[in-house]
Parts: sequence; C-alpha cells; structure tokens
Amino acid sequence: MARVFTIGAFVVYVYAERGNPHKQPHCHVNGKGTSTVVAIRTLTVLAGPKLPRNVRQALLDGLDELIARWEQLNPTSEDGETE
Amino acid sequence: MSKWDRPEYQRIAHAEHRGDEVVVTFEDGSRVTLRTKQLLPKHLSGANWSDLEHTTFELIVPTSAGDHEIPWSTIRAVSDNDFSAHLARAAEEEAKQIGLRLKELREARGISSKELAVRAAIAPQSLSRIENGRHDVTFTTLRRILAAMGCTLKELPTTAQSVGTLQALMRLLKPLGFTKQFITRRLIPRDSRRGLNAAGEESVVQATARAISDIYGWSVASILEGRRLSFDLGPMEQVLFKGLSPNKDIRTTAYTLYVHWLAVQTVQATPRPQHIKLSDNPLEIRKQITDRYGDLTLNTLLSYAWDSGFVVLPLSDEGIFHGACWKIDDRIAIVVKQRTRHQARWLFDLAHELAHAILHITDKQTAVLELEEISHFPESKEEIEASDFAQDLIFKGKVEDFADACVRKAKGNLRMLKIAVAQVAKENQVPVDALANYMAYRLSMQNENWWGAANNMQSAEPSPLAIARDELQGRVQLEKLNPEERRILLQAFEVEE
Repeated sequence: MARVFTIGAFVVYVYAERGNPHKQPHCHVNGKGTSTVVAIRTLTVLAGPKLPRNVRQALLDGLDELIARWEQLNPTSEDGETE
Repeated sequence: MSKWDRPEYQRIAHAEHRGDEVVVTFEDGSRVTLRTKQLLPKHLSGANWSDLEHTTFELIVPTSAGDHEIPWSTIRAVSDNDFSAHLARAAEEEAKQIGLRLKELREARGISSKELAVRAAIAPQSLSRIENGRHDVTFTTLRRILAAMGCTLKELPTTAQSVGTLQALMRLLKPLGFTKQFITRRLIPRDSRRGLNAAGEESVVQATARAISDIYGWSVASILEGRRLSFDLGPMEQVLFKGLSPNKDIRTTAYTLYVHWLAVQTVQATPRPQHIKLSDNPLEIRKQITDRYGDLTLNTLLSYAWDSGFVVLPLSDEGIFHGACWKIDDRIAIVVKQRTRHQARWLFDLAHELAHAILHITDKQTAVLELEEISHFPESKEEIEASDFAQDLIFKGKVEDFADACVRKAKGNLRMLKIAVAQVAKENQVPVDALANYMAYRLSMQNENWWGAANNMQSAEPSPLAIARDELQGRVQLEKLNPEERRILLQAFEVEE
C-alpha cells in the first residue's frame, strides 16, 4: 500500500497519515538500515541521511507518481489541510 | 547532526498494543505511548490492534481495508515536540522556497504577478501570499500556477547544494556588499566558528545560511544552491534610507538591513511601557534624569531612554553609518554605533540620536541614518538641531559659557586648559570628559589640536558598549525570541578578540 517504487537498494514509500503531523507532503526513502524523510514538493531532506545524487534524480524522475500516490492517500482540501 | 538524522532515533525496537494505547520502544532506548486513534486516518476502520506488528521503520496494523503502515516519523512527530517543531520550521521554509521559486520562474518569463493571477485563475492576493511564502499551497493550485507559466511540478525542487564551503558562501555574498569580516563576526554562529573542524564546514555553512535567510528573507535553499540573490527592498527603501545622502552603496544596504532586523527583534521582545508624555526640551529632560537617576552619565541617559519607551542598540562595527533611528511598530529604536571606548563620545551620540527620535521621527519620517560622523558642529538643519539638543542636555544649555570659563581660567594658555576644564566641569556638575571633548572640537575649528589632552581625560572603564549592552539585556525579554534570533542579536554586541 505504501511502497511506490524502488531505486536500486532504496525503497520509496508514501503513507496515509492522520492530522498532517509532518505538515507537508513527504515520502520516505529507506535503504539498508537507513531512513530519509523527503519533502515531495522541493525534495528537501527533513530527517535522516542525505540521499545519493542518483536517488535524488530518480525521485525527480518519479515525481508525478509520488504526487499521485500522496494525493490518493492524503486527499486535501483547498486550504492545504489533510483530512 | 540532529537526533532525527540518527538511525537509533528512527529504528523501532519493540511495539505492543495495550488497551487503547500503543507502546513503541526505539533503538535509542526512548519509549513512547500513543493512543491508537492518534495514528489511524479517519477513513480507516476495523483496525485489529492486537495483531500489531512492526518492521525496523514502521508499525503494521491490519484493518478491514488491508494492512495499514505507520512510519517511525509519524510516531515521533506526534510524541516529540522537538521533532514536531523542526517539521513546522521546515514547512515554513518550504513555503518560502516554493514562493521564491514561483516568483523566480515568473520573472524569468517576464510575466507580471497580475497577469499570472489572471492566467491561473486565482486571486492576485492569493498569488502574492503564495509568492511571499505566507500560504501553504495544494498541488492543484501549484499545478495551475505552474501550467500558466508553461512549467510543471518538476521545476519546483531544488538543485544540488553548490555552496558547501564558507569561502563559496562569502564569494556568493560579496557582490551584495557582505564583507568577510561582517559574515565572520556577525553571521557565522560563534560556537561553530570556534569548533569548525568538529562541527563540519558544511553544517556551519547551513547554520550561517539559516541566519542570512532569517535576516534577508532569501530561502536557505536559494542561498545554498548559489542562486543569484538580490535585495528586495520595495517600500523598505523609503523606510531605511529616506532623505539621506545619495552615496549609499550596496554595502550600506546589506549592513543597514541587518541592523534594522536587529532593531525589529529588539522592539518585538521589549515590553511596551505605559504611555509617557515626552518633553522636547533638553533642559527639562536633564532635570528629569538628575531627579530620577542622579548625575547625567551614559548609564543614567540609557535608563531614561529605555524607561521612556525607546529601544537602544549599541554596536561597534566599523564604518557604514554612525547612528540611526527607526520607527518600528509605533516604537522608536535608536542605534548608537561607535568604535571608541570613551564613554563621553557614546553619551553625546546617544543624546544626539535621542534628539532625532524626539524632534524628527514622525509618522511621515520614520528613519534617520547617520552616514556622516556625528559632530558637535554639523552642517545640515536636522543635524544642527540634534547636536544643539545633545549639548544642551549634557551641558545644561550653557556649553559656550562653560567653554569661555575654561579659556578664562586657563588664561588663554593651552597648557593650563586641562586643569581649567576639570575645575569648570566640577563647579558646574557636568561630565568632565564630555567638556574636554567639546573644547577639543572647538579648538580644532581654530586649527588647534588639543585632542591628546582631551583623550587623557576620558573615562573608558567600564566599556560603554558593555554598559549599553547590559542595559539592553536587562530590558529585552530574550525568551520571546527563537534561539536563532537570540543568537544573532547577542552576537551583534560581541567585541572581536
């Protein structure tokens, strides 16, 4: 449900969340023993280790898919609040 | 490295369901207890918490719609105030970054904001709020704005960080008038400056970029990516530089915006006093000071200024300007800026700026910036008024009488003048160091250099900067500022070692 795609050894996840605790659309990029939380709109790292350049590029290439999954799992109203 | 960047903060060691709660233990040993309803989206039902499982980074709860995963960051965000505050700050920064990026894309295409609002079918006010980073924006609206410029969402993310060293940061900021000395002394966090190796240069660059972002409004990302930055003065130009010398340059702009930012923080963190009716008569003010606080000194004039609702910032940076007054939020901030350690010079400058604050700052004229050195014998009308006010305040309106008395006592002999000045000051209860300065100025108009003797009569201990800084720290409620703002403000008063 949460897994979106894989980039080599990294797996990208988008979750449905309650009450918008992260305050912005984001995804998780989990590697071997590491987890990086990334803001989807700007690809800024919110927590965890920096991503290798190729992983960042793959996120950019897969941005439409990431956004589509985020919107599907976290429907928003026009004021930006998640349900 | 922040704690949320560490694997042990993120990794789940154990999770169990108890009643309507979930207890999660992380690898760093921390244990959090959460109510189950905090964790499930509203639309999910039929959760079977007793079959709760976990992986390294997520909880898995079976529901009627299938397994629902809850990542470590959600558990931390609802249970750790520090992490939640970090996410809130990151969200603010992201909104700012998106706004700046949209503006950058719009301007690069030569589209006015009004035109873009029409093309995207959104209210111009909404677009303005979004571009200024004051409004979070949905993907739907973002797509509409970007499509109206022929762009897609893929153009929003930042490119890789290109400013990774302090040297690169200084190179980026140099054309904007930031000197190496200014960046080093005032913007780079002092702690990381001392332990540069331990902190890692990249994190020092990021911390400095955050400070610059706070002061100048550029997003951290645009600084770190080395984008072309410019000052967006707009109406601020009138506020900061109104009616002043046209020789202002970009270095003046950069430094003045910094000092104005310090003034805004100080005003906002200082309790507003009850309404006080201020006299514009320097002799009346002097009497109030001596009645209330004792002899007129730098300390007592500072107490009077703060008690009267003014905010006084003491700075000792080199050049740029020598003093300033700004009306901020219906208060007046006075900036006294001196390199000298002589208290009398600070006393005169403070009295001079107080005069501007009382006589010249109005709703129409909200700024005075002293680009020329403050003098006993200035040339412009406002400067003459301010210096006359300061002299009357310090010397009871009789400075020329005292000067004549000094000359008479010294019998016109410069060698006798030092003793004469000391006697006249004592007899009339005026500051001897200030009177010595006045005599030196007066003699310099007659091509006589008496500065050596005047300098020997100066009080320099305690340092006037320390006196004024201690007064400020006693008045400002520093806890009202966030740690970053507090750090930048306090670093402004440090003297280089």
